[in-house]
Amino acid sequence: MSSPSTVELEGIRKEYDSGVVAVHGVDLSVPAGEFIVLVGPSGCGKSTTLRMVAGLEAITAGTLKIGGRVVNDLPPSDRDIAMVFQSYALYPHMTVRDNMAFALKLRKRPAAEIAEKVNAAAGILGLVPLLDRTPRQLSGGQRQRVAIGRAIVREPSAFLFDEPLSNLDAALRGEMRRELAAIHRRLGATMMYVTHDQVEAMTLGDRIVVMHEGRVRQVDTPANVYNHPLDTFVAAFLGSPPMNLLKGSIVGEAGRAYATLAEAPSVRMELPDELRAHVLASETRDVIVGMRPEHLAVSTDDGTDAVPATVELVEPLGHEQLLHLRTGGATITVRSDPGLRARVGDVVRLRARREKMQLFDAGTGKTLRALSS
Amino acid sequence: MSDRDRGSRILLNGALIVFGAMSLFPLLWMLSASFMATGEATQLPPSIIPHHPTLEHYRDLFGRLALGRYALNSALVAVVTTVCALAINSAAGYAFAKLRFQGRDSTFRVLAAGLAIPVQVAMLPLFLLVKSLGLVNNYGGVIIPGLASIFGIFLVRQYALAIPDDLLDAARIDGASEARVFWSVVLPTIQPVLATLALWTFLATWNDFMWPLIVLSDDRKYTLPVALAGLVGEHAQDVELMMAGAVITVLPVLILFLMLQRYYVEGVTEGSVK
Repeated sequence: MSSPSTVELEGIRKEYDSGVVAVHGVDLSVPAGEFIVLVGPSGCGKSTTLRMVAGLEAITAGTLKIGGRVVNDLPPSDRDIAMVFQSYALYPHMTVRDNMAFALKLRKRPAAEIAEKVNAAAGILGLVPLLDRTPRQLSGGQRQRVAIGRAIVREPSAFLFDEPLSNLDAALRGEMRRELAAIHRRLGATMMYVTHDQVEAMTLGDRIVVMHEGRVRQVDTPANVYNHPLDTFVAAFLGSPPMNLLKGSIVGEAGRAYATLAEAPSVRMELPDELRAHVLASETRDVIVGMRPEHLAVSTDDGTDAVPATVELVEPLGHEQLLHLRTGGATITVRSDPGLRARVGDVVRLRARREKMQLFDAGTGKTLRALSS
Repeated sequence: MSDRDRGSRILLNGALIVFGAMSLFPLLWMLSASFMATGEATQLPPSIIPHHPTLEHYRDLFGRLALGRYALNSALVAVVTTVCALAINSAAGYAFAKLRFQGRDSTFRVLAAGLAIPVQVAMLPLFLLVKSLGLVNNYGGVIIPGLASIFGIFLVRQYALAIPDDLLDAARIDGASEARVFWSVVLPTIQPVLATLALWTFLATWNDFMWPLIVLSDDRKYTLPVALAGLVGEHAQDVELMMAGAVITVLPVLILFLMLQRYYVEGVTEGSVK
């Protein structure tokens, strides 16, 4: 079996003949055995990047290495990768067994070895009773299992997944997600996974790559991307409901620093120590203040440290409720205890867990942490 | 089921039976007449069923008139043309639908415009071409012009457009060469249109009268329709003999159609991609 390989992208760029640039120089190094997820809105270049790794799209510029070997000009068949497509792409006229055996037959492996590998993969995926059926006779979830099995029998250097779960219904998607995680643990294979679904990205990825408009915005572990987004795009993209991003400013004052919101200038929130380090003394700067809905709390008491807001909408979700509040011209979403009684039109007080506050430069949208580091 | 539904079903099925019988009758009478004794078919009123069924016309055709030879000629021309046309048109149609190359769409537009040119208009230049290639009175001259047909390419292309790109990409990643992708994935997927194309090509070639008549001058090389047309002159009065000749002409096409019929059933790609 070929062992899991590194995948390295150095300045990978895709420009079409029409002059449209789909991917602007992606740098990414995937260590062997890592599960890396490329996530972003549609049209962000994530699928194009994956297809360049697969060899299905020509690379305009940059270097692609798989297992340390430059593979820019190799056809897909010589890159030792396997790919699972959103549409499953099973061969309609072949049985499940033949679908899974096709790649090995093309490599002229002995029949006994093919049978052994197909049976092993079918065992992992629970496909043994279905081996003699054709794709037409399978459900969506079973078809996707076959597509994954077809990749597994190859024992490739790297697995590529292009939105493999997007055609499945929600329940099945959750089940397949857990199964994929288990397969990754079992095989220890290098996996590159493209999705627009942030839940898949957060739960499956050892690291996630957030892409937007053909550029990589952040590469980090799911927790770091969620807790320390590098810019306002990443902050707003991950998390549901998304992070609240509000206009404000920060003021440095003799060793201390405060943030205020444009909609409530009288409320001064002292910055936590780690953020204060990024603010110069006696400086005033426009920023965007980011606060996750779960880091805000509402109460009905008074207090100068709280922002007054009006309840505009209450969305009960059972285990929690989402409050959509208005303060001045801004809308803020708060995740709250379902026991909290709030009605539309109520005026409440809003407090933030200031240690969780994120600050972004108002001009560039970059986090203040990145600016000084 | 309400009475009204039942009534409309009876009406619909009744109409279908009537139209079916009207379409079938000439064919069945052709078959029936081919077994009648000479002169029986032209009596007034004509018989429907032969009074004394006889095989004498078939014996005549294959014995005295040596139609067997012409049937073989026709079979040779039709089979070779069909097999080669399938290979060429399916490859070209697939390439126009799915492969990326310079000038693909403009070339195809020019070809599609060629569909508007009537066959008869092309015949004279085509004959001059065949003549300068030294293929007159040669089966090559009959077969080669029918190999690549714009209509066939068009037919395959329209069908192949529906093949999902992912399916081809999956095969490429699995390690298939372009030829292997075509052979192992594309051809099985477009089977229904290949059956249609095969039938259509065989039918057109087997029944073609004009072009073999123009190209072939040696009467021993004649195809069945050309040879039969020759008989009409000599045996115009012998309706039963002509009917037997017609049966021999129609039969292979009919058998081929019945054989390929099941491939018309669509849905081969169903289940491969969602």
